[in-house]
Amino acid sequence: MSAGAFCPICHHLLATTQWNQRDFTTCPNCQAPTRTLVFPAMARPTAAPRPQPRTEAEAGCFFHSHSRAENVCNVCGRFVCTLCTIAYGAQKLCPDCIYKKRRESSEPLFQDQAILFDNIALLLLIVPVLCLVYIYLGLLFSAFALALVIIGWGQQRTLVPRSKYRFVLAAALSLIEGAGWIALVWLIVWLIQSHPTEFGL
Amino acid sequence: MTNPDYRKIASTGWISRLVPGVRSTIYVGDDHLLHAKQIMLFEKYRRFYFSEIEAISFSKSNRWIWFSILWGFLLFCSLFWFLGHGTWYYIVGATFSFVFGALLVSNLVGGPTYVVHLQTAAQIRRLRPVERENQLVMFQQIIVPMIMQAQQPAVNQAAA
Repeated sequence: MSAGAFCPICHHLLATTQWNQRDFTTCPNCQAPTRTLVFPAMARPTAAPRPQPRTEAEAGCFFHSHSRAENVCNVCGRFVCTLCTIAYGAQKLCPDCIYKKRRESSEPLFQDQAILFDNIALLLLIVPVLCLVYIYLGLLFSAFALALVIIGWGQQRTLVPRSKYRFVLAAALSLIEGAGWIALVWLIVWLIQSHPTEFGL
Repeated sequence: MTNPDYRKIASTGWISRLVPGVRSTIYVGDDHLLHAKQIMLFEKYRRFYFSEIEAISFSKSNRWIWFSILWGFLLFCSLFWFLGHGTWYYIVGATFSFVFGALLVSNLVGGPTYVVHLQTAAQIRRLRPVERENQLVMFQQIIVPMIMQAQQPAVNQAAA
């Protein structure tokens, strides 16, 4: 069972008499008006039962050979004890499989983060212009941003729906910035060639 | 790999799009709540299974009052532009007044703010997308029945 519900402002433990009240009650520590909805899961035991030692006739845990196996991992099929059984949604998994699945990010259930290629491409296009690096490396940044758009269009694996308009915007901006950089360089070269004396040539 | 089963139920306001790490959205899945937090170049996901949610706590906060004072003060300051004599003074004054006026109105329309925490045995997370009163009420109307339904066997076990 958990320690109880906490005040969202000061994280002080709230009294059980404050649970599931219709009106707001004041936190005993910070006096903030607080309301707490407590659900039946609060009364459930949170700690896993201690693994039992196995006898010779019983199967042992893959990770703790002296402990009795209580479950089978739904992914790899290893026998695991109560300590190594991790409930992940409706599945029961071993710690090894959770680690591997998270690293692979192949299944939505195990994905805990996504790289936003569209935001990176936009950042690559905006930051150089703001900090004047554009004059020196504008074409490079534009090409890199365009490459990110092409790669990210199919590779961006967000768990929730995300519009593609940022990719289109980044592609358009990278083409405009690239063309602008070429035009700027051409203009400088033209100016130097047409007025060589003014540039000390 | 987008999961079409997720339904968006709440999101932080449009101002949060300008501040990295503040923008977050809550989605409802079949058996869990998904909290997606965008940190500039990444999106991080946290799942709260209905069967594991222990408590939802919320406290009233004065944030909306302080922001109303701030936007009101800035709106008042913008009006000083109209003391200048010239078209540009009026254009700049009107622009600032419109921006801060809109922020003030949207803050007042949004209503009182709360600090909302969702608690499971493993984690306590702040849910920024539901910190306005109307969002919080809607969130409770959607989520609480789903949690109660998911935890029904636990209630029966406790009764037995």
